[in-house]
Amino acid sequence: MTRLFLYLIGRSARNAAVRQLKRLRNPRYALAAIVGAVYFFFVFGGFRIGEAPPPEVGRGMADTARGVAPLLVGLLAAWWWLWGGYKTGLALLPAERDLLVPAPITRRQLLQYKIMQTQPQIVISALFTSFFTRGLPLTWPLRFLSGWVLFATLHQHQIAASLVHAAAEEQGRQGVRRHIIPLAFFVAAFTALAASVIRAVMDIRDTGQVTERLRVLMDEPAVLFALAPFRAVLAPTLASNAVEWMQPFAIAVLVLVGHYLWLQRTDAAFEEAAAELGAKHADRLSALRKGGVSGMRFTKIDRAKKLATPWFRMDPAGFPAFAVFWKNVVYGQRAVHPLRLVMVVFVLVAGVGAIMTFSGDEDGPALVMGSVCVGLAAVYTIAGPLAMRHDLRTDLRNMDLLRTYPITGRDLVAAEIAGTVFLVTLPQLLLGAVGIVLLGISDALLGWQAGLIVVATVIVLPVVNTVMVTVQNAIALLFPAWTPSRDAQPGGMESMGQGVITIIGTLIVFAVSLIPPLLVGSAVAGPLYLKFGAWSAVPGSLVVVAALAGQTWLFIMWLGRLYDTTDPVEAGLLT
Amino acid sequence: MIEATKLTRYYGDFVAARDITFHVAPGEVVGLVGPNGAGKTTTLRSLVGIIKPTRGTVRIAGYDVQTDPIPAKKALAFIPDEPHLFPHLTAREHLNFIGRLYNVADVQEKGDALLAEMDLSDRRDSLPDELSRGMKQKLAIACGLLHDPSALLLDEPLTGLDPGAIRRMKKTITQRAENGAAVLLSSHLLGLVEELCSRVLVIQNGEMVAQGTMTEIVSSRPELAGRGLEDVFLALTGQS
Repeated sequence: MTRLFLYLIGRSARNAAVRQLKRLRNPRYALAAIVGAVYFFFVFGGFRIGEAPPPEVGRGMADTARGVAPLLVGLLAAWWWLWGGYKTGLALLPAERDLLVPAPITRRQLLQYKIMQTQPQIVISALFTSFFTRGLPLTWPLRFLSGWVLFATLHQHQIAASLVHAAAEEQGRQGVRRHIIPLAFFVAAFTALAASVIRAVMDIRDTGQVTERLRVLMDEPAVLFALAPFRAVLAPTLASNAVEWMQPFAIAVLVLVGHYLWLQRTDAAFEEAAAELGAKHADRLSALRKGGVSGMRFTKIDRAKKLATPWFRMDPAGFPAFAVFWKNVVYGQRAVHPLRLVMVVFVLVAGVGAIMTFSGDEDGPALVMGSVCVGLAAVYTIAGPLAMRHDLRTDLRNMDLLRTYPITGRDLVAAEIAGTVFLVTLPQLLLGAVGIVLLGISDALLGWQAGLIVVATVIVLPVVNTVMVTVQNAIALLFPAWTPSRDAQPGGMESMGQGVITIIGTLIVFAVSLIPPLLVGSAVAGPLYLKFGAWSAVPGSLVVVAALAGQTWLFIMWLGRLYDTTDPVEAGLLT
Repeated sequence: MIEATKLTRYYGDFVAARDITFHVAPGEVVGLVGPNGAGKTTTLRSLVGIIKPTRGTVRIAGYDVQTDPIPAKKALAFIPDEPHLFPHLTAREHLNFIGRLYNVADVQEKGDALLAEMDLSDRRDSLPDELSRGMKQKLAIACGLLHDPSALLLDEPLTGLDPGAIRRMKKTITQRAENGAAVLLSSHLLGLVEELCSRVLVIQNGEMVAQGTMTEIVSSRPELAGRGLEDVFLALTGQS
C-alpha cells in the first residue's frame, strides 16, 4: 500500500509541476517565478556564500530560543486543543473521499497516507529552518534532521489534539470519556502553565522585569512539566555539538513515535465513538417516531446548527451589487466571527487588567490595556486584509456564476472589496475606540487629543483598509490561477513568489500609492503653514485622505475593466 | 429570444466553436446535443457572457451580451450542470441574494413558492453543505427561476434529481416556455430532449452539424426516416 500511496503523491506532485511550468509561458506568472527565485537565492545564497555569524551570536540565539520557544510552541498546541483544526488536519480532497474511502483501505492506512502526503511540506519547512538557523552551532544536516523531527511531531500533535477536540465537541460525554487520558494530561498541563503565567504576570512591576521573570517562569517545575514534550522536540536543534545532539535527538524521535501511536489510537477511538453515537442517534429517532420522547436525553449533536443572523437585512430593491457586499459580510461573519475575536481580546485584556489591579498597580492597567487594544488595531491594518479573504480572492473560483449576474465588473469589484473593508474596519474601530478611551482614563491622552484621534481614525482607517484590500484583490485578478480552485493549487517556486508578491507587494504598492496624495496634501498644507502653523496639518491630512480615496477609486474602476476582460478559461479558473 | 450569429471561439489553435448560428424564439424549447467535447459548454458560456467569443454575436432578448450585458443578463438565467452555491448562505438567503441582484420586488412570496415547488420548504434554513446533491441542484434551479427570465439556458438540468423532481422540472420547463420564455436545453438525455424540445441543435467538433425539427433533420438524411433521436444523433455524429 505504501508504494501505491507514494505513486499517488509522486504523480500528483509531478503533474502539478508540469502544470506550473506550462503556466510560466504567461509573462505575469514567469515574473512571479523570478521573484520567488530571487527570494530563494537571497535565503539559500546567503546560507551558502555568506559568512556564518560569530559563535557567541549562535549561543545567544540558542539561549533565547531555549527560553522562549517551548512556551510559544506550548501556546500554539493549547490553541489546537482548545479550538481544534480537525478539518484542516485531516481534510480529504473530493477525489480522496470518493476513491480512497470506499476502497479496500483501512482507516489506519488512510491516516498513514495523509501523514505521508504532508511529508514534502514538512521536509521543505525543515530545510528552510535549517537555513534560517545557520547561526546555531550544529552543522546543517543535523539541524535539518532536528527540524524534521520537530515539525513532524508538531503536525501529528496538531492532528491528534484536533481529533480529541472534535470528539469532545461532536460526541459530548462519549467523546470525552474515550479520550480521558490525553484530556486529563492536557487539563493538568494547561492549568499548571496558566497558573504559573498568571503568577508571573502579577509579579511584574515594570517592563524591565519581563525578561528576568520569563527566565524564572521557564524554570518552574509546573512549567517544566507542562512543556516537557515541546522542550524534548526542540532540544536537538539547540544542541551545541554533534555529541551533545545525539541523546536529545533520540529522545525527540521517541516523542515522535509516541505521537504516531497516540494518533493511531485517537483516530480509531474517534471513529468508534462516531459509529456508536450514530447508532444511538438512530435509536432515538426510532423512539421519537414511536412517540417515546420521555426519557430521551439529547446531546449536542441533536441540536440544530445555530447560524449567526446577518448583521443587517437586505431589501430586494436597490443597488444590485449591494447583494455581493451583503453576501461577503455574512460569509465573513459566519466563517471568521470577527466580533467574537474582538470579544476574546477584550476578555483577555480585561483579565490582565484585573490581575494588575489586584496586585496593587493602580495606574498601569488602563495604560497597558489601552496600549494593547490600540496596538492590536494597528497590527490588524496589515494582518486583517491578509486574513479576511472573502472577496475576489475566494470568489474568482465562482466566476462562471458571477459573470451571469446583471452587474458591471466595476460594481462587482467595488462590492467585493467593500465587504472585506467593512469586516476589517469594524473590529479595528472597536479595538481602537476602547483603547483610546482607556488611554484617556490612564491620563496618557488628554480628552481633546483622544477625540481628535477618534475622528482621524474614523476617517483614515476605512481609506487605508480599502487601499490594502484593493491591492490584494488586484493581485488576485492579475494572477487568477493562484486563486484556490476546486482541483489544484499553486506550489513550488511560483507559490513562493506568490507569497512574496502578496505581502511585500501590498506594502510597496501601499507606500507608493501614498506619494501622489502626500504631494497634493503638501501643496495644500504648505501655504497654510505660514499662517496657521501646525494646524495646517488638519486640512493637509484631509486632502491626503481624499486624494488617496480618489486614487483608489480610479484603481478599482481599472480593476473592474480588468475583471470584464479576464477570460476565466484562459486564466485557469474554469476548464 | 436567444440569438447566436456566427459564434466562434478559439483557444490558441484549437477551435472550440465555429460559426454557430441559431435562434430560439419566445415560447420555444430547443435542445442542444453533441458528444463530450463537442463545444456545447463553450457555446453555452458564450451565450450567457461567461466567456467572450472570438467572433460573432449573441443577443438575449434583443440585447448584445458583449456590448449591452446588463439588460441581456437581466433577461437570462443560466443553470449549470454543477450547482455552484455560496457555502455560508442558507437556501432562503440565496434567494434573497438573487432577489436583490435582479431587483425582484416580491422576493419573499416568489421565494417561498419556489422553495415549495422544489420541495425545499423545510430546508430553507439549511446551508449548502447540509443539502444533498439533488437538493443543491433544485436550489440552483430556484435561484435561476426567481426573476422570471425570458431566456432560460439549462445545462443538464435533471442531474441528481429524484423521479418526482424530474417530472416537476419537466413541467416547469414547459410552463416557462408557454409563458413566453425562450428555453435552450443542453443534455445527453436524448429522451428528455425528444420529449420537451420542438427543435434540436446538434454540435460536433465545434461545428453545427444539424439543426431543426426531427422531420427537417431526417429530410436531409432519408435513411434515418422513422428512427428516434438517439439513432439520428449517433448517425449525425458518426458514432453509429
